[in-house]
Amino acid sequence: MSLLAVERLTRSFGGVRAVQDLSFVIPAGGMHSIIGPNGAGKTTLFNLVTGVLRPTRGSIRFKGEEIAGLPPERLAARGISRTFQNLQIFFNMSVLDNVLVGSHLALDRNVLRALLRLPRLRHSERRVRRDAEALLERVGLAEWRDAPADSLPYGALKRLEIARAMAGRPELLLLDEPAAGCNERETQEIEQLLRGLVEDGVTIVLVEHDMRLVMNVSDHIIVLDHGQMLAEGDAETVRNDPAVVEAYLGQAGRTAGHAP
Amino acid sequence: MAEFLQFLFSGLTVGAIYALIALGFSLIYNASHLINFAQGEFVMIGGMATVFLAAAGIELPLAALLAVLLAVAVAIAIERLGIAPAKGASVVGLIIVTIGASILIRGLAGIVWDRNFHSLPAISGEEPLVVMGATLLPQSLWIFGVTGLTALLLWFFFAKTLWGKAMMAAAYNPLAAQLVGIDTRRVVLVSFALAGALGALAGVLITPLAPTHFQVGVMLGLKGFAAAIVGGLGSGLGAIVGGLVIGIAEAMAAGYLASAYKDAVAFVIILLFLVLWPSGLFGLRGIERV
Repeated sequence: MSLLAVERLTRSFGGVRAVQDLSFVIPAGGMHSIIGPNGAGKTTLFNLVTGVLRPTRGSIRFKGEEIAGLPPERLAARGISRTFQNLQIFFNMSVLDNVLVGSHLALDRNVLRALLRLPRLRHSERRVRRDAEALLERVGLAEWRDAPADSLPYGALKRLEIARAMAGRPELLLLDEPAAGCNERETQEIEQLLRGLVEDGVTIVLVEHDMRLVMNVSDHIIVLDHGQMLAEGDAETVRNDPAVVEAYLGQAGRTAGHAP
Repeated sequence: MAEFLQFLFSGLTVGAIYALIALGFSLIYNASHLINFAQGEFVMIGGMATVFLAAAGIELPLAALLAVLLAVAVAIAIERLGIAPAKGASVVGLIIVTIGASILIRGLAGIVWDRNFHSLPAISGEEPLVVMGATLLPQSLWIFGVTGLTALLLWFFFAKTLWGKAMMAAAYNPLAAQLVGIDTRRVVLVSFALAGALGALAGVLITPLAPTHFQVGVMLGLKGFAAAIVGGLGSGLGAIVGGLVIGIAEAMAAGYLASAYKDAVAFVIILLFLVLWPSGLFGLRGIERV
């Protein structure tokens, strides 16, 4: 069954169509990548799917239900989570608190009820805290638990953002350039992390410029150019698609093709 | 010494009231980066509504509770009718909305209630305690107790509960907060409701010591704002310390100089802080200028 189905999706900014008439399907499970040159509409697409932007036209279905135009917090509650190209960390909080805020959804969200049933709240907060600590362990930030978020190095912040996104227990996780600005080793750590998440059944959609990472991990790649789909398929298919290679992968695509 | 102690007691009492008002400023500032200039009106509503409900024959504690609820309802109305529909407006624009709301509320209070001064009986009588030659009214002890307890509850809420953390997250980065499922509009609404309750509580507590009037909110609101600036907008501890600093400075000026200078003191302090130390004693760096 398709987890996410985008149909004839269009978003214009003034006269510019950042995404035009785009249709694709993301099945449940696996790692899906969206690639394309700068300005191809990748981030706009993420913003549309996560409710940051409203589509000009078209439909977005998540688990069969229309979600186009819903606000971000409602989409998060339905199981869509994301990270950002430029970090959106709560720098005024500790590392653990960042993840705890991400678990907000797992708790009773009615303030009054939450205040009036303190014992139950404490119980669920303990559970949420255990889960948050497990997530930090998983992304390799356990030792930074109580550090202020603004004291972390860049690569660690990238993983913190993934942990926070995972804390909401999403079914669909959209990652906007998780490896951008990371060195070789950090990129490998992120690759391991993503593989683990997919094994756990999370469906990941990845926007990434690091072609080696994309080609290594993706089950399914969608190539965008000027807001439209240029090609689609597994890594092999996309890599050998002449339109893709010519249009923009260029040297990077061929190099990646020779990589193990 | 007795004289100094006397001024100190009166400064701490009024300072604790300013602290409650300043906490309201900080709550709303934290949730929305707004300065709510209708904060003083919540204080006025707390005092005036209690007076008129009590006059209508309602038991005093119930009247006070209803007055607090009325202020909460008014705060919610300001947010729903004035702030929420203007989403996308600049912070300055929204601040002007709150100034408009305060003028409207004051005008309505003058019409619906009256334009006279009113007082309330003190909670535990008027028999003063004598401490080292200075007198301390039992009402002051109530004010210290309620302000202290309120500050503790707020600290617990923000430091220990996920809801509190969610509110802080929404204040720091609304977009990221929305994307982890926090309804940021509700966070702003909750902050207004809490600020309304805090202001009204201050109004109920101060009325036995300083008579209330439909325009009393203007000065109390400005003093609370001065306290929030001194302590650092957005800081809970800062609101408390700022309130006490303003209250004590006022009481000392009134006692040792002349009571005519009392109100001037708060404004001299606020100007000094805005010019020399805009982030306040406990504020975060990088307060934006509006």
